[in-house]
Order: sequence, then C-alpha cells, then structure tokens
Amino acid sequence: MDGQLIQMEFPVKGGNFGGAGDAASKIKNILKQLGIRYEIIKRVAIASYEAEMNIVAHAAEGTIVVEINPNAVVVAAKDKGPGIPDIDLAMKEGFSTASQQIREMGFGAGMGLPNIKKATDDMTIKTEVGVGTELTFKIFLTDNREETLK
Amino acid sequence: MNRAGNSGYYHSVRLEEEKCQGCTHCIRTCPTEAIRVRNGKAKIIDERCIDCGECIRTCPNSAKITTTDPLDSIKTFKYKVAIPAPSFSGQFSRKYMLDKALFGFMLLGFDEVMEVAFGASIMAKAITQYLHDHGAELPRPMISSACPAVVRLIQVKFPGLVGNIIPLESPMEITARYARRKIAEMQGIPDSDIGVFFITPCPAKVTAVKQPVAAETSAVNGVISMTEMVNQIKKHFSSLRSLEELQKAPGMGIGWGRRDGEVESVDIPNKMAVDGIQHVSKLLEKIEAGGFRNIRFIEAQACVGGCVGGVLTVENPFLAKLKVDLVSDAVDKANDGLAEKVYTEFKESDFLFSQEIQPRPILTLDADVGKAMEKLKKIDEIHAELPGIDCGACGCPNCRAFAADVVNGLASRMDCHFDLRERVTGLAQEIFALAKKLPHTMQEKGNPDETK
Repeated sequence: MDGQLIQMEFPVKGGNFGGAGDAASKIKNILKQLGIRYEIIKRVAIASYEAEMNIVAHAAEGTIVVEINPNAVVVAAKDKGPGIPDIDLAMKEGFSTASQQIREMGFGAGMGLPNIKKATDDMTIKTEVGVGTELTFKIFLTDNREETLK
Repeated sequence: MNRAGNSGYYHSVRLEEEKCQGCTHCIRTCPTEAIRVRNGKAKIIDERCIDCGECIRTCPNSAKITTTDPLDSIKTFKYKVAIPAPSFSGQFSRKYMLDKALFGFMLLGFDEVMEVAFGASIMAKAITQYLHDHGAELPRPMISSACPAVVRLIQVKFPGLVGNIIPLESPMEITARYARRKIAEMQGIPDSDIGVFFITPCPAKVTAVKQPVAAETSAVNGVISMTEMVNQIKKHFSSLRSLEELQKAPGMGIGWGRRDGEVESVDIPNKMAVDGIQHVSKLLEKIEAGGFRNIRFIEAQACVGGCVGGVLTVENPFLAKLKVDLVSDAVDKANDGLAEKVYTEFKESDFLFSQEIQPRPILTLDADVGKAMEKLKKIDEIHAELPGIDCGACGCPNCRAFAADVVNGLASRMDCHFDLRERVTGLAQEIFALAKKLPHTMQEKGNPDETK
C-alpha cells in the first residue's frame, strides 16, 4: 500500500552547525504524529542526529533520505565528503578524525558511528575515499528490539 | 470546586464569551495549538490546554481569565493559612514592606502566613540531594518540576521526556504539607480544620492544585489570585505593622520567584535556566533529539522572567526581578538555619511524587500506525494546496493545523477564505459564461453564441 509509505529527503549543508539537527528533528516529529513508541523515537532521533552531524562535520554537502513504513524506518545519509579510509577504526569508540576546531565546538568525540550502531537494528556503510559516504540504518517500529534481532 | 470538563481535565484558564471578539490573537500564541475560533468565539480544546496563560497575556479584550478561589472561601475553614508564592516578594520594593505585606494576611482574616519561598529553599536541598544520590541512573538532563505549565507541556508535546522531570514535589506542596503538620502538632488543630491557601502568580498553579499530575490530591485547599491579595493588602498598607518574625524564608528561596532562582540554589554542576514557553519548547525539542546530555539540571519556566512574569502578578516582571533581588539580599541570614533544620525533618520519600507523571500525547494522528501514515499524507497534500500565510481567518492557528483539522473532520475546506474565494471566482466565471449563452432564436447572423 503506497498510502502507508512515507518518503522524504532533507538536504544537509556541511559546516552549518546552526542548522544541524533540523533533519533529525523533522523525522522525530513525523514519528510522534504516527504514534510510535517513545523509546523507538529516541533511538531514531539519536541515530539520525549523529548521521546528520557526521555530514555537517566532515562533508561539503549531503542528503538525508528517510523512508517510513508501518514496520520500520530506514534512513540513508549520503554525502560528498572525504570518505572513511578505515571503517573498523571509525567504529571504535573515541576514534575521530574531526578537526580541532570541530572538537572545540563540542563535537567529534568519536562516538557518532558507535552510537548509531547501538541505537539501530541494522547499519551499513558504503564509502569511497575522496568521493563520499553512504550510511544506511534501519530501526523497526513495531516489535521490540530483542524480538526483531532473533 | 473541581470543575473538570467532559475530557476529564480541569482548566483554570477560561473564556468570558461576551468579551471575546473572535479575533485570532490567542490561537497563534498558544504553545500547544489548543484554541480554535468557532462561531466567532475562541474555544479551548481541553486535551491540549496546559493552562500556561499565554492567551490571557495576549488577549486584547481581556476575554481570557484565570479562575481562582475568592478570598471569602477561606471562611469555610476554622484555621486559615496563607502560603504566598516566592514571586509575592517581587511585588514589594523593600524587606520591611514585605514584612508589612505578610502581616496584611493576618489583617485580611488569615491565622497564619508561611512563605512558599521557605519550601523552595527546602526543595533546593532536596533536589541537590536527589540528583547527587541518583545521578548515575537518571536520564540527562533532568528538568525541574516546579513550573506546572512546563510539566504539562512535556506531557502533551514531549511525552518521551516525562522521565526527565525530577519526580519531586513543588515548593508549594512541601510548604503546605509542612504547615499542616506543624499546625496540627503545635496547636493540636485537626487537619480537616486547617485551610491552606496558595497565593498564585499564574493559572498553571491553580490547575496544579485542583488536578495534580503526580498525586491524588494536593495539600493546598484553595488558590487565591496574587493580584487580588496585593490589591487588598495595598488598600490597608498604611495601617499595617512590620512584623519581622513573620518573614521566615531564606533569601535563596525568595530567589525562586524569578528566573535563575533554582539554578542558584541547587548545588550541582552543569545547570542552566530557560524561561518563556517558546524558548522552553525549542529547548525540549533539542533535548528530545538527544541534545543537552552534558547538562544535569534545567530550570524551565513558562513565563519570561520566571514566576514574576506570571499573568496574575501586579508588578512589571523586570522590575519585580529587581525587587526580588533586593528583598532576598536583605533577608535575615538566620533564616537559612531554620530551613536547614526543617529539611532534616523530612525523608526522601516525603519529597517524592506519589504517582508517576503520565504522557498525554496530543500529536498522534491515529492509534494505528498505518492509518496515521495515511492521515499524515492527506495533511501534507492539503497543506501543500493552502496559501501558507497562516492568516488564522479559518479559526485555526496555522495552515498546517487547519489541514489536520480537515483530515480529522473538525474543519471544512471551505473554511479557508482563499479556497472559498477561488471557488467563488470560478463560479462567477461560469455564471458569466452562462449569462452570455443565447437561445437560437436570439442569435443574429454574424453574432453567434460566443460561449460555444
């Protein structure tokens, strides 16, 4: 049923810390209108916020594409950025390539990707150094996490 | 006394219909989009209203009012206690004037007066201790429960954050409980004879007493408007004595009458204050998205300037802030010791809410996710066709809310003047075309029916 599928796209501007979190906030507000459980909304909000921040902090520009169906929300954060040379290293808590300037603003703690991984049911990263990164994650809306992971 | 509507929710904010002009000021400033203009009158939606008083502030015709208990209602109790809010101090310029004002309560028929600022300094210690003892297992940031409008804003618009509200009673409640206990113990007066009356700066506190969110009932029996009390006291001001011993609250508690009072008195690192319901909304929005996790305590107040900005205060809020500062600086330092002593008489369980605060989400479009999605899409479709200037002429706060009302069957597309105008234009063109249509007998050569 296409009446039960919501798709949206939000452009994200690199370096624009003032507007950072806008896309995550909009996604969160849609889920609130849909009556999704708060614990799930929280996880979607945290993961989308971190994904959005990654674009803002590292890339020149990007987009957040969201797809919501009654069972799951899928978010794809695509950017034209530096790419990730070593995904395993990037997944380590506390590892960050963020500049000193960005750290001084309170970002770049190296928790972005690990936090997304923790908050979501599925996460994949496609990346090419010098070209960009596409991070996709999925969070189930209906069942609770433990059951869906089995 | 407790008049709850069909929805089951009590509201102190009401409309005086005959004064309402049906203008659209209130519908647009309401932080929960709880008002619609229907049949030329503002209608408050019970489920959405949080009694913050923004509509009272904004109404140019004073049609929005706060329902409070009349001063006469104290007569139903044998022993009458007034507990004025900390912002009461901001209505008087000097400490000796506050002393006189407190004596004024006795003159007006009360047997005792106890400042809620006293309870505030006890709560400052209780909050500090609570955050200290439970910090590790609590979500961050924790938000003060002192402003009932903020608590209700969280319940309806940010239900995911109810767990971030500090589950401790308000200074008003603690002051009332302490007063009841002390009077019963010291004077042997039965509890049912004691009437505790809160002197309120705002409608939200009235609702907090008539329908508490985290307890069956309040220890407060009635709520009297601060405006009414200040007016009465000022009328008798020249005949009042300055009874210093009535003023028992420490300066720190008096500070709760204005913004920053809580932050200054709660001894915890990484704390901040936010005031004004729109700013509070924006902050909650960010917290909900996972922000502000380094902050441990947030003082959030619906009124600009804090409680001195409440719609039932008399003094200009910004001047009242200065007055609070002057009075709290002049207060006897010995009061600190008394509050300290009383604090030790309480256990943590005395401060804790007796019930959990429940979410009351108003944004959910349908209980079924699939149906909610269909509704959301319809709302988006309708919204895209609307002029988007949020004129309010349809009686809804903005085009988006109108689209939602249409989808929920609460408004008709024809309620939009622009839509209506377009349809009338189309209709007029059709009429014009029809008017030019001629029967064959009337058609002349060289002047055929142009409408064909």
